[in-house]
Amino acid sequence: MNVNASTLNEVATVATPVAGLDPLLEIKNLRIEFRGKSDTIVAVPDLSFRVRPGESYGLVGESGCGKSTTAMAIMGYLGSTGVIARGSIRFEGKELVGAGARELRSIRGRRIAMVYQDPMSALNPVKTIGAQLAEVPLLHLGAGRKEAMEMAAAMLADVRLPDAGDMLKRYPHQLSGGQQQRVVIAMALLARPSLLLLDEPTTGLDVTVEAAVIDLIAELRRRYSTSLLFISHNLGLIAETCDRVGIMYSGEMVEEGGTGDLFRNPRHPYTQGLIDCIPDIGSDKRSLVLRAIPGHIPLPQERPAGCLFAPRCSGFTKGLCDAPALDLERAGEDHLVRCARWQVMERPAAVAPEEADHPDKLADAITLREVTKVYRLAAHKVLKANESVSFSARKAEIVALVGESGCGKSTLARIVTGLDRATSGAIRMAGDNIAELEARDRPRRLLQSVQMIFQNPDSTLNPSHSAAHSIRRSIKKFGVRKGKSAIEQRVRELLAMVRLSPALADRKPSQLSGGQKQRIAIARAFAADPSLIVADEPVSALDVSVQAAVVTLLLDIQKEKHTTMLFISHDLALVRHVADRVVVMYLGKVMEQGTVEEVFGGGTHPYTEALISAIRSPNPDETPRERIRLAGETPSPVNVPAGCRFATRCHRKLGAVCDTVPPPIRRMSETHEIACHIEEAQLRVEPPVYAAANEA
Amino acid sequence: MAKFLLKRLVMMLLTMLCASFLVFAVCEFTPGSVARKTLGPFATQQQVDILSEKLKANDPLIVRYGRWLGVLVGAIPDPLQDPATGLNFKDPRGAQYFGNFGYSTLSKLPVNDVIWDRLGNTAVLAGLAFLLIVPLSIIFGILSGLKEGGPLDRSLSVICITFTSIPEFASGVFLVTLFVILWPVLPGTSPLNADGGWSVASQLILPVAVLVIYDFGYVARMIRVSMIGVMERPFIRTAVLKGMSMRKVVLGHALRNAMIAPFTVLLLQINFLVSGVVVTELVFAYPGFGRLLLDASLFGDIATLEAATLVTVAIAVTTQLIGDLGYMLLDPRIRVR
Amino acid sequence: MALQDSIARVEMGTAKRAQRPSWMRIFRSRTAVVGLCLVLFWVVAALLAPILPLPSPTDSDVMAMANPTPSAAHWLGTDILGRDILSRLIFGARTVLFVAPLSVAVAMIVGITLGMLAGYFGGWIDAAISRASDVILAFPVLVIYVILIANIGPSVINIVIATTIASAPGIGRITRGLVLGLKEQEYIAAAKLRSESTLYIMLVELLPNCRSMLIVDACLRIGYTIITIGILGFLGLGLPPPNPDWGGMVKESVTVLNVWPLMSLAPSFAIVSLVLGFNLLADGIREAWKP
Repeated sequence: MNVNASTLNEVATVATPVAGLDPLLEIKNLRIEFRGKSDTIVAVPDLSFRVRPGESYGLVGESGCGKSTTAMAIMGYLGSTGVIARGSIRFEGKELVGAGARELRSIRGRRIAMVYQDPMSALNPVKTIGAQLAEVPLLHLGAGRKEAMEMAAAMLADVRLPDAGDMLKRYPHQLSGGQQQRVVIAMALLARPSLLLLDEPTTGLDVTVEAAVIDLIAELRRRYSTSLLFISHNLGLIAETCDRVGIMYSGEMVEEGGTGDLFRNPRHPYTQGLIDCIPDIGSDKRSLVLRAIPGHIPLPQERPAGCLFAPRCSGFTKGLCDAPALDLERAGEDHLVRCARWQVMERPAAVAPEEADHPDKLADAITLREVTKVYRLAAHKVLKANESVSFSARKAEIVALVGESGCGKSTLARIVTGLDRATSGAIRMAGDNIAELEARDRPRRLLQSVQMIFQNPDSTLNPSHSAAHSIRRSIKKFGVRKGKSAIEQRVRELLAMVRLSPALADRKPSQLSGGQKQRIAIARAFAADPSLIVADEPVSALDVSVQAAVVTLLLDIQKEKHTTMLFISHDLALVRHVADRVVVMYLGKVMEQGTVEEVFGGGTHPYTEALISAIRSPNPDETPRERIRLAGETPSPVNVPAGCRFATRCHRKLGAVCDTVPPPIRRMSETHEIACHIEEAQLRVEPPVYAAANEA
Repeated sequence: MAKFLLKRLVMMLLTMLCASFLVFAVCEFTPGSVARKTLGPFATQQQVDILSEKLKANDPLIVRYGRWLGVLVGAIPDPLQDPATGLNFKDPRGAQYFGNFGYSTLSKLPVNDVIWDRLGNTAVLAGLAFLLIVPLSIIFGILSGLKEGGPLDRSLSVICITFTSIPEFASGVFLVTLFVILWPVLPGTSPLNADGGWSVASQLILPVAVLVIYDFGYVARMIRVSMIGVMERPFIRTAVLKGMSMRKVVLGHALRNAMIAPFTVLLLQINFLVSGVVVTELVFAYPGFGRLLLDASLFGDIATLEAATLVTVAIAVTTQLIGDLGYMLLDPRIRVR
Repeated sequence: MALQDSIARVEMGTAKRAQRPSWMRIFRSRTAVVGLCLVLFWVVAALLAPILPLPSPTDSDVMAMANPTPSAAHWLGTDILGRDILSRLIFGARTVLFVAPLSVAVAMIVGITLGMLAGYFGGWIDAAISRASDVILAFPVLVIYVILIANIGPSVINIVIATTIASAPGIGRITRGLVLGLKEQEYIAAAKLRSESTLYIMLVELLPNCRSMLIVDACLRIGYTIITIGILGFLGLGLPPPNPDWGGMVKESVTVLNVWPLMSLAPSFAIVSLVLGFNLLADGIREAWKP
C-alpha cells in the first residue's frame, strides 16, 4: 500500500460522518409512478436509503434504474405525470412529500441544490453568467444587486475560474464544457446548501477535465461540509469519490454499503456482474473475456415477481428467487443485499479466451503517412484538425486511436472511410492511395473493403425503415449475394453472427434497444466482408453491461474474420483490453504510438501518463501511482500552440523549448515512438502509472 | 457591422431590381397597350398607333425596362411628358427627377401624386392593427404555451385556429351584419372623410378589427410553439430548481428565449398589413394602398404597379433587415463580430 | 431449463411497445377527428352533387327573385339572380376541392425538390435557390396572386401556377431546414459508404423522415389556398362561370347585405367551415405524430 493511495482515501473520507447523528436525508418506502392517459408506469416501487450529514452517498445504476427519477422526486420536480404514490422523503427533519409550493421554493437552491449532466443546456443561453449566478443570492440570501454580483465573483474564484470580472459578462456558449460545469457548481453552492445532488456531473466531459472537476467537488465539499448525493453509472468514479454507495436495478436498491467494503466484497450477482464487465487495467483480451450480463434490464411492466435480476442470474433457483417480497438483508456491518442466496452464491471465475493463433509479422493492411486535414474558415482563420498523422496497422490487428475531444480522431476516421478528404498526405491500402478519394469517387471494391461502425445507436439506423433495411441494401449494392432469397439468407446469417433473433429484422429501430441497434450496425458493417473496419466509439453510448457484450462480440467476429480494425475511443480501460497497438492523439497530432503494453507501461508521453492516471476503477486495489492533474484546458484547434501542442498543460514541461520548437520523435523501440523534448533516457526512467498494468 | 449593413443594402437593391423586372415581364401578358390606355377607349386605332410609335412601345422588353429604370433614377425625362406627343400631361415636379415613377394611365395623374397618400392611409390602418396584434398574440401565445394541452391552452388554441380560418371578406361580412345592420353602432364603409356623418376614427374600427382577427391567431400559434419548445429546455428546470417562482421563471428566463424566433414573424406581418389588405380595403371602400395595387393590376397601369411593387419590396426587405438585427440583439449566440 | 428459456427469451429482446400503424394514430386526436369530419362533409357533398335532388346552380328562379329568403323550394334562399344558394354552395365545393389540393400538390413537388437540392448540396446551389426564394418571399402572398392572375387571366392552370410560385419557396425553406438537420445523421453516412446514389439518398433515406412535417404543412396550405381562391373570387379574379365561386357569391351579394344578409353569410360560413376543417386536421395530425 503506497503512501499516495492512502492519502487519497483520506481526502475522500475526511468528512466521515459521526455515527449516531440524525440523517440529513431519509427516504423510506418511496414509490414513484408515472400516470399517463391510459396506463401507469411504476418507475420506483419501493426505495429506502439515507444520507448522513457530511457524507457522500453514491447512487449507481444503468439506464432506467430510477436514480435520476429519485433525484427529481427529492426536488419535487416529477413533471405533470409523475406522482409520489407512497413513502416519505425527510430532509433536515421536514417531510418533503406533499410539501407546498412555497416550502419547496425555499428549499430548492438554498438547502438542496443540483448539478446537472449537460452544463451547456442547463444554462440559459441568452443571459450572462453573472446574471444567472446572481439570481441565487438575490433570491435566497436577501442580497442587493451589487452585493449579489460580488458574491458571484467570489464564488467564481472558488471554483478556480480565472478572471472573474470578465467571466461574469460572458455568455454560456463562450465557455468550454469544463468551465460551464464549474459555473453550474458555483451556482449550486452559492447559498451553501447542506445537500448537493449531482446527476452524472461529468458524463460528457473529457477525462482530464473530469478529473479536475471531481477534484473541485471534493475540495468544495470539504470546505463547506456539504453532503453529496452522487448519481452516476460510472462505478469507478463512485468508488473513489463516495463514502457509501447504493446499487439500483430497475427501480430497486439491490445492494448498499460502505464503498470500500462493497467493492471488495460485492455480494449481489448484479454488482459482481457490473464490476466484472468493466475492463480492468491489469488484463487484456488475451487473458480475459469481459463477462457480459446476458439479457437486458426489464421494463417496468416486465418486472418479474421476487428478485428482479432473476431472469439474468446464473444462480437462479426456482422457488427461492421468484418468491415475492424479497427484502434487503444484512450482509455485514453497514452492508445490505437483496438476494435470497447471497450467502451461498459463488462469484463466477474469470474466463480466459480460447487460444488464438499468433500470426507474427503480417503485412501492413493500411498505412497513413503525413495525413493532414485543414479547414479554411476565413481569410486568416485556419482549423487544424489533423497534422502529419502517420501510423500503420497490420492485417488482423486492432489499432486504437485515443484522445479527447478536439484531437482529430473522428476526422481521421472520416478521411479513412471517405466521408471526407485529406488536405494532404497519403493513405495506402492494397496499393491505392485513398487519402484524397471521397466515398463517391472510390471504386466499389475499395468501398467494400473499408466500412464503419458509428457512435450513436439512435442515429445509426434510419427510423423510417426496418432495422435490416440497410443490411439488405449493403448486400445488394456490393453484389455479395443476388436474388431476394439469397439476400434474406445472408441477413439471417449476419443477425445470427451478432446474436440477434431474425425476428428483429423487420422491426423499426424505435422498437429496439441501444445494444440491439448497435449490433445491427455491426452486422451491417460486416455485411460486405470488409478488410478494414473503422469503429468510432462503438460502445460509448451504451450501458456498461451492454458495452461488455458488444465489445466481446466485436472481438470475436474480428478474430474469426481476421479483419483489421481502427478502434477509436476515449475510454482507456477499454482500449487496454481491446487494442493491439495504440496511437495517442492530442490536438491533431500524434503524441505517442506503440504496442498496448508499451503505451500502458513505463516510459510514456506525459499526456499518455495523465490520461492513464485518470482511469477510475471500482477495484480498490487498483489505484494509480499518482493522479496527474493537468492545468488549463485544451486549446482551440483554430489557435494551435507553436512548438509542442501539449506544452500549455504539460506537467513535465522542460521550458521555453517546448513552447517554440516542435518536438522530435523519440524511438523507444522498434514499435514505440514518442514525440517529446524530454530525452529518451529520462522518459524511460518513469515507472508505469498503474503498477498492475502489465501483469497479464 | 458596417460591412454587414452595406452588404445587406446591396442585396436589397438587387432584390428590388429583380422584383421590378419580374413584374415588368409578367405585365407583358396584359391585354391592351400603354398607348391605348392613355388615350382611352374612344380614340381611334390610328391615334393609338401614332402614340405607340412615339413612345417606342414596340421596343424589346429589356430596352423598355431600361428606359423605365432610367426615368426612375432621373437620367431620362418621362416620354409621356414630352410635348411632342400632344398629350397634356404635366408633372409639377418636372419631367426628369430622381424618383419619377412616371404617369398613371389609370388615374391620369403622376404616380407620385397618387401613391403616397394611399400608402399613408394604409399605414394608419396597418399601424393600428399592428399595435393590437403584437400584445394580443404575445399574450395568447405565451399563456397557451405555458402548459401544453392544459385547459387554457385548449380554449385559446381553438379561438386562434378558428380566427385564422376566417378570411377577411367573411369576417367583414360577419362584423358588418352584427355592428352595422343588426345593431347599428358603426359605419359600414370607410371612405375616410366625415361626409357620411361618421367620424374618421369610427370608420377605422371595423377594418382594423377584421385585420386583427385574421392575423393575430397565426402569430399567436407561432409564439405558442416557440414557448412550448422553450419550456421543455433544461435551463428552465435549472431555474425552477434554483427556487424561483413560476412567474419569475417565465418572465426572467423563458420569455426572451421564446420571442427570438417569433420576432421575425411579427415583423413580417407588417408586410402583410401594408399590401395584403386589399380585401379589407375593398369591403370597406377604404382608399388604401392595397386597392391601388389591385386596380393597377386589373387596369394594366404598369407605372403604378411597378411603383407599388418597389415600395412593397422595399418595405419587405427593410423589415427583414430589422428582423435580423433584432435577432442578433436578442440572441447573443449569433452576433456578428 | 426454465432459466435457459427465460434467458433465451430475454436475449431475443422484447420489443418496446408495438407501434400501431401511424395513420391510425391520427384518430387518437379529437381535434383531428373534428377536422376530418368537416372536410369529409364537404368532400362527400361535392362528390354526390350531381345526384342530389338539388335545383340547378345556374338556373334563375325568377319568381324567387322578389323574395329570396329561405323557402321549401330553396332551403337557403336564392341569390340576387334567383339561383339556389344551397346548390351553388355544394357545386362550388366541387371546384374548390379540386383546385386547391391540386395546386398544393404541384407546389409541394416543386418546393420539396428545390428545398432538398438546396439543403443537401449547399454551396452555390443553396445560395442561388435561397436568393431566388427571398425575392419571391419579399412579396406578400396575395400580391403575387393578384399581379399574376390579373395579368395572365384566371383559369385552373393559372391558379396552379400562381400557387406554385407563391408557396414553393416556403415549402422549400421548410424542407431545406429539415434536410440540413437530417443529412448529418449517421445513417446517411452509412448510405454513402455503400455507394448509394444521391438521388436514392434524397428520396429513400431523407424524404420519408420529412413526411410528418410536410403533411401537416400541406394541410395548412390547402386551407390557405382555399382562402386565396375565395379572395380571388371576391376581387373579381375568380374562375369564370359556369362554376359557382364562393368568393364570387359574396362579392355579388355584399351590396345587398343590409337587406338580405343570408346571401353573403352562407358562402362565408361555407368557406370558414372548410378551412377550419383543414386547420384542425393539420393541428390534430401534428399532435398525434409528435414523437
